[in-house]
Amino acid sequence: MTKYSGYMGKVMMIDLSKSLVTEYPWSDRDRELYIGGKAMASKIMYDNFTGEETAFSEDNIIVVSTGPLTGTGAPCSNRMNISTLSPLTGITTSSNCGGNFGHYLKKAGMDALVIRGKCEKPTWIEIKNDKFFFHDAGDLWGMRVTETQEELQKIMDNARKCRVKCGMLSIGPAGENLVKYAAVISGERAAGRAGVGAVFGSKNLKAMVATGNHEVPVYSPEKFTKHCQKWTNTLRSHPLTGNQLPKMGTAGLVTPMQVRGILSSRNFAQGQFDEFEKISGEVLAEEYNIVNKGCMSCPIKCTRTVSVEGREVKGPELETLGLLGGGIMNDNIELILKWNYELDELGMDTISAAGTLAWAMEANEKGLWKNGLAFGKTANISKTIENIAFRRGIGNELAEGTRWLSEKYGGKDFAIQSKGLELSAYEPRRSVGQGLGYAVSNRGGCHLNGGYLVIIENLGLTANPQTPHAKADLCMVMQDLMESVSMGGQCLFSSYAVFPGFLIAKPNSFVTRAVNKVIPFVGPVVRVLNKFPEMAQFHLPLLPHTKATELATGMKYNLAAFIRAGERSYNVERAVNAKFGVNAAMDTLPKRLTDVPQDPNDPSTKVPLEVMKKVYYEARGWDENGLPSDAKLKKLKIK
Amino acid sequence: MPYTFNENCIDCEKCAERCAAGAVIVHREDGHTRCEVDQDLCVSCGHCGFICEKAAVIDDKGNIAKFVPVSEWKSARVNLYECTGCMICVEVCPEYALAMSKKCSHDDPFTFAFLADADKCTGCGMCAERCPVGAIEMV
Repeated sequence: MTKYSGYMGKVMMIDLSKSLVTEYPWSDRDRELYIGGKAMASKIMYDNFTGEETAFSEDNIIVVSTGPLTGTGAPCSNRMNISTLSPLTGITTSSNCGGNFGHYLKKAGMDALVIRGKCEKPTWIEIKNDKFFFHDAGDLWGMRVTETQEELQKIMDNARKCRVKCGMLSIGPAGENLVKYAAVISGERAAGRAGVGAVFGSKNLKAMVATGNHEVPVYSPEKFTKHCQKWTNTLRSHPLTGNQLPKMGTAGLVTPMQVRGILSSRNFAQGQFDEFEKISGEVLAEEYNIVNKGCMSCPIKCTRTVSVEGREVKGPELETLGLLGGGIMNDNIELILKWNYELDELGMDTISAAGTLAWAMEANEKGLWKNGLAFGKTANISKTIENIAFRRGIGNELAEGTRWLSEKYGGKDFAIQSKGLELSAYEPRRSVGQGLGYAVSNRGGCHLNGGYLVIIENLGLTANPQTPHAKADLCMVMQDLMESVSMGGQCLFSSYAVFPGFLIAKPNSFVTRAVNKVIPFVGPVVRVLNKFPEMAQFHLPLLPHTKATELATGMKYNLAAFIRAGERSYNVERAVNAKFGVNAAMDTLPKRLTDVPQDPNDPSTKVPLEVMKKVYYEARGWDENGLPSDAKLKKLKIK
Repeated sequence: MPYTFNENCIDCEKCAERCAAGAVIVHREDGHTRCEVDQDLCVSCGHCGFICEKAAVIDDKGNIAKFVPVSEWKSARVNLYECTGCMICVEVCPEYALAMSKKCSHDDPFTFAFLADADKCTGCGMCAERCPVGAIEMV
């Protein structure tokens, strides 16, 4: 039990080997320090991992966690986090996912699940109001995602003789066949990156279903509702969350990315794609979108719905459009819609799958590996995707990811990955801060874990994207901010309002230009503020998360605690990675991005990684090897 | 806290027929029937209370639920201008009476909730209670 509201007060540990469920010790002090979500998962992994585990070993654990705001009705708060040891990168990964499982997990009476061991045979787990039931999943094994979820819904309905509201997590054939970048799907949303699905598959865990009738308690319901109303209105009136995202989804970024030269193209050889108009968010919104969908409790609704083979299915996100479009030189948006659907159905990460395909195409072109794939050749992609999921033919090797392939066949220079994880669609050579983020990110080449500096350099504000000045400090602050936002159980889009609307709506105004000019010089200021956040014992109107968490939980929470919690979360994750051998030498980017300028006439269009990395470690207070010292961990109350 | 039945219950099974959550369990033993609320399934929508003429239902606050004739059942009305489309009401409605609007245009991309099946709405008020922006009123 816990003295704080907002939590259900229980973290359950499932031992699959023994089919045994026990309570995992998680104290109120842990709740104060780690809030929930990803930070909580990182701490649990920090306490459980020794460094000997591998992704597919029985002692690997999966942590499914929610935040205190999940299920309370706060805007964009319906998210959950799945963390585990990744088969693709060999280090920790965390995958944040919308869908409805987090909400129903809390309704079933628990905040998080820690899963360890391995089932003897395919199993699915039913969680019904604090009770766990292990069911045989022999019939479900081999089914695609939608089919599995429909079948499970039928089983639940038949057992209760009415329509049951429940949240589901399930893997597809890719997860069963241990494709290194298999995803876990909840409804239509995916916890996609770095092979969480394969870990589920290795544990013979096909699906989980949660249902229940508990209510999430809120400490101060009236004030909380009022605060959420205000917050919702802020999101609705902001140019990004109230206009661009609802209108075009994340796909709306394709055009601005093309203009700024950061739309990855031809396996990151170029930063622009000539046929971008055919795959842009405008086309998707005007010609293909049927209705905006999204997660529960979200006023933004960024998900597109499109029609594929007569079914209404989820449309592609920006990363999928960019990488399956320009990335492999394909300008047919209908094919992207179809592949996106197939990848979701098979349960695979679209970013890593597209990145691996692009690498294979270039390797074929360069004569390193004859595989029949080629840039612009779209006829065999569908078949190849299926082959990857079932590990047939070349699919068996493609399923291992870019790093493994480039180690086998050569071509590391153009293997676009960091720590084994393929980069997403933002080309970092014209957004060097983002390049730094990709390199130092805790889960590998991830745009979100890496700080998402493109929003300062190109897509929201337009501060000089080529200069390394202040990028390290901003990268650190943004990483911490995102950690803090997601540990509450919230979508990162809810933090877009940090950038005042007028800066984004009026890019040419005097104020905006002044802000853009000043940003490269704010490094030292940011660092000092970050060192002494104790000054910030208040709530910032631009960041409603702190007040919402305080009103929902009843714990003392403010901007200072928010900043520290983010830093703590990032450091504890780094400390887990350190156990698995991560150090400065692994914080790298492929040579294509660091040594070859994007524009041959402009030598500054590459990522000056070493320069920024040094400053970054300094700002973080890490040693030269890029690791947090014991003193640092003690200061952050991790040890 | 879920609902319970008191000793007034005559086991007429009316509530069992209408409970959308499948939470009223009917035990049949030796020709006798006995109704009971499954505490794990009840969503506290109060529907059993509306239709019970015998004052046999105790609501989540411990009071005896009041019988409401069908003609006086309220119905949810969503203010489309205030609705943010968060779907919480759709999710909580035990009768599946609310739905999201199907189409949206490029110019006005927002979808909203509306009472799709007025016949199903029993006026339990769960949607209005949970709406984060107060866009639903019971009339």
